[in-house]
Amino acid sequence: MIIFDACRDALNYAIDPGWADKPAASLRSGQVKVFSSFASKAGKKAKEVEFNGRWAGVLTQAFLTGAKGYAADANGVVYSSALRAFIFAAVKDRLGSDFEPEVDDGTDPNDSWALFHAPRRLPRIVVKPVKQLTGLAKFRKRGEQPGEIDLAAGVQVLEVPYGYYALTLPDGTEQTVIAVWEEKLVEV
Amino acid sequence: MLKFDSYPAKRLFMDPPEPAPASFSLHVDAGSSLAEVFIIDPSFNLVARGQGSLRAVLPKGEYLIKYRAGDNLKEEWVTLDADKTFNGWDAPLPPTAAPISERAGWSSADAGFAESLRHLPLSIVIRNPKGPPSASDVRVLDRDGNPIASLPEPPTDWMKGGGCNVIGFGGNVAGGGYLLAVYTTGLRPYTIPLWVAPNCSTQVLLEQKQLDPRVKSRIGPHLASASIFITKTGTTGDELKRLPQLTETAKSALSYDRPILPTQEEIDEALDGKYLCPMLGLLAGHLLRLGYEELKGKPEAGIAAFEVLEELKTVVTNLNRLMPGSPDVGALELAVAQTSQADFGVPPMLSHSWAILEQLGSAFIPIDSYADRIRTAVCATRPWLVFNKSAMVTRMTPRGKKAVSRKTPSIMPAALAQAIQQASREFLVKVNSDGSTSIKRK
Repeated sequence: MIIFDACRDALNYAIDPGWADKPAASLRSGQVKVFSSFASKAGKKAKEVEFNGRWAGVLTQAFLTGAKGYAADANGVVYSSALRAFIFAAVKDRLGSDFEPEVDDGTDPNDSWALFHAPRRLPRIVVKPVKQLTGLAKFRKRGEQPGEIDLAAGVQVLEVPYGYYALTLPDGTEQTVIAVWEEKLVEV
Repeated sequence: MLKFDSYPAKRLFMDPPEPAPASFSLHVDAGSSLAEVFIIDPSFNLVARGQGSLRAVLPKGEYLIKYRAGDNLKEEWVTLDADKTFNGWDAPLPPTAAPISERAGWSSADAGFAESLRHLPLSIVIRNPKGPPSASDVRVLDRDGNPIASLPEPPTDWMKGGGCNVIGFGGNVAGGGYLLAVYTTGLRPYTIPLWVAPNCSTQVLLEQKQLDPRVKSRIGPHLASASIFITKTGTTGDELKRLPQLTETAKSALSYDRPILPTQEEIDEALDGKYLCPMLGLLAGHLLRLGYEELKGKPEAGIAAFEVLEELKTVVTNLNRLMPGSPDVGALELAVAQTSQADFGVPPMLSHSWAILEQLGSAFIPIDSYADRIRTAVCATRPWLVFNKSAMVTRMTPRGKKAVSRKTPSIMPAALAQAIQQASREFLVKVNSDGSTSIKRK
């Protein structure tokens, strides 16, 4: 398992000392499973942001969050494909859709392998009314029936399995909420 | 400690979703055969992926469609509650400096001006998306680095003109290797190699932008993001149809080493019969090579790897016919273990070609040739090979004398020779009778 939480800003006018072409693979390399992750695509920067008062690399935090159970299934297993998808979503949630890590879980989509065993933890979505102080908002996992949130009740904390959710405000506006991090604040 | 740890939490959506009562077909057109499309479900699972277009039958629900054209991404949520088709009209364009689509932001007059220059063997078009382009110092050099034309004052037998947001010039040059250098005050003279093929037009489109993030006034044509087309002379935009857009997507895919391959039909259209767009063929050749390199490492992909290699060999043969002497084609020939008669004294246009030549060592690049002297000056750009002209090794043989032919394999790169020459000014090297050496400062 290799995590490269570093810039890959090779695409500039700096003098290039030369770059290696694809190395020859060992004949037995097919027996080795490799989970590798870069913080960004080639030529892009890795980013650090504040996590609970400390600056840290977004890729590393996404990986650690997933590994400690936020990417685990109900049986407490973190599979390679789940962690891969989790890291993608977590990095994009924190940095925006223009930032995309490069993650290779080393397997075909239907051949996932267990990476970690960790009790499942649930990301927390904190809905904090700031402008819309009254009315009913609807919160749903994409593709499922919504639940209602009474904004007049103030701050509300929801624990949900990781995934894509949608929050529809009383005025009809809808926003996507990605549940991945330990705690995500959504001000409405 | 989380900020809202003290608040009571309500658990939602803990039960797995009930199986959807129905499935529907989803057809997504990615807008280009080289664009990728991914379908992701609400639990982050990748449920389908395709290149060019995608057809899938999926349970009723909401899905995230992610389009990728080279480095450009776009995402949208769709609700699948009936059979649905999404056309690629709003799929992202690849990054481009060329008028490959109405969505690229060019006015029709500016696009027409660029098109009018394309009937010349070599033309350069500079566009400022924000207004009239400011004066630029852009020079076309011959294969030895001697200037033959420049902006703002090209020779009288060259065409020069402009539009609202563009300025350009072009001329009638013989086939072979050239260089395009951009001089911007406060920055190094960055240069890219070009190749002009017989019966073809080479057109370079550059976007004028801020080149130094720290200094707003340092604005100039950006070489690394250039759009470069080599197309059959006299072809109209209508004849080329989607080939420029495919070329740009292939360029972007190659920049990021993504082995996204054009269809056989598109490669045929670019190279066979009509040979409309050799540049697409060249980019496709490198993409095929990346695809081959990926496949050959997988024992289970033996036949597929062989097929890609055979396709690559066919592409190389066709390219050799259309762009004889090109060092880019020569590099691909060497990559498929063929011999090459290419002109390796001039640098190739693509970094990927340069990487092949570098990996093979010095033997193919003539000593003290222009290509040999840029080794110390190559910038970290993809896919175009950009070099800093001021960091080149100085020429050892006087101008006018030919560099040593590649038929005499060079044993010492020019950079090493120059380093030894410089060292010999300061140090005295003595070979003793027992074969040992001693070095003393002069």
